[in-house]
Amino acid sequence: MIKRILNILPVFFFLPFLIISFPKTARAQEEPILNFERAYQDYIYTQNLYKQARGEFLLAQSQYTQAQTLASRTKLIEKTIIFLEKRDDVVITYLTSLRTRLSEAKGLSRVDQENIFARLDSEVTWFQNHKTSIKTQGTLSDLENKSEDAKDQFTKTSQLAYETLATIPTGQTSLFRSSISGILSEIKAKTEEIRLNGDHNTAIAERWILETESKITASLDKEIAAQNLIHIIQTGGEDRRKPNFESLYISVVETLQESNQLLREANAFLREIIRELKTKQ
Amino acid sequence: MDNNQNQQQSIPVAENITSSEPLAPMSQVHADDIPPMPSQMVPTPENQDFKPTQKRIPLKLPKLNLTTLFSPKLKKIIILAIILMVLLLVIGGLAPIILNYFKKSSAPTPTPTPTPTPEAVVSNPSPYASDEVVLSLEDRINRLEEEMKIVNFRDDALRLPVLDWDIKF
Repeated sequence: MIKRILNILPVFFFLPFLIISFPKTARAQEEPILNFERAYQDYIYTQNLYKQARGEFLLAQSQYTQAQTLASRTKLIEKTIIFLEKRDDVVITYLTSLRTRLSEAKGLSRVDQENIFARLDSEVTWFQNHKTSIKTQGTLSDLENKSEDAKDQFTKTSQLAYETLATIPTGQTSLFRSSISGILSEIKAKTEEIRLNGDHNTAIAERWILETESKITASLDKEIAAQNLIHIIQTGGEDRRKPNFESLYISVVETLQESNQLLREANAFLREIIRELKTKQ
Repeated sequence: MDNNQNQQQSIPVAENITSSEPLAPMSQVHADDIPPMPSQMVPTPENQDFKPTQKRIPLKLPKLNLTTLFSPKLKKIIILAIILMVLLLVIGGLAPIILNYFKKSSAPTPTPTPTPTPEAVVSNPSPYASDEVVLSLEDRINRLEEEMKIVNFRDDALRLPVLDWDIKF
């Protein structure tokens, strides 16, 4: 009997360690990585909560306007606090979604990404602090002031958001351009090799290579134009009057689309050069 | 009238019968001792106090003469409009049934599926037509073209949220 107990004893010794360690490992497995998909889902969910809070706030506001009682005012204060908190949450989750989108964007330099990350994080911190400070406000006028603060801050936030949105696609264009340039370099090397072999006339291919290069250069010019527009979004422009960031963002997208179209044409030229090299004259 | 009086004479009246008084023989009951039934109370010059509880409503409604109400032209228009409305209702009701019938009867046509355009075949190949480097470059060009086709520069999902910033009390 004592022997049996002694055999089982080590199990009892290790059991608490197993119990303690199991939930941690399970939690570690369950915890998903914050990618864009997840961040975006959080943003949509928070938006729904915000809409609900806004509805309740508007109802409390109308009730207070009609009744003008202490009870209705207390309720309005309570609903305003929730509404302002949820509004801050929407901005925070939106910025988080933008951050994850930027981190997953291809073709961007690490320096550019880090620069925007730092500013996005700063905005998130501002809205988190603002959210924490809302609860301490006791009067409707205090809450009104808090709302004004957030409104002013969101103007800066929207400027940064448009800058981020405009920067994301530039990476893709730059990636396409470098791929095409790489293929073109290899085609040039191959054409040179064929020319040296002397078994195939490469004059046409060489001329077409030059035309392809000019297409790539034109595409790069468009990309630079887009970068200049992004710079205007970032700095706010030289004019005293603030520019319309949304229209600037649309211009960036259009310019990048034009750049991409030129790259597609360059790619089509490359295909023709290959066909030329494959065909006997 | 005589028959009525005879009947009234023959009916014994319960109100006049009391338990203490002995019943009089039927032959001795006089017609004047029996009060008239409410239904028999007809207003007469002698009985002016009686008034009917409800006034009688005349059953007949005033006659509407349609021939005089509408002119013949208007009558025609109204009749035509009614016929048109009925026709529209019938057509409206039958149209979905007819359409469904034709849809069912017509054979299902297969949706056109996009077919990849065949690569241009080199009819007169050069010594480099099957060169590994050339073929690899061609493959990379094709793949890049596919990537460039589907790329989307505008991110509509992450458009700035529209929020209510005007809080005034």
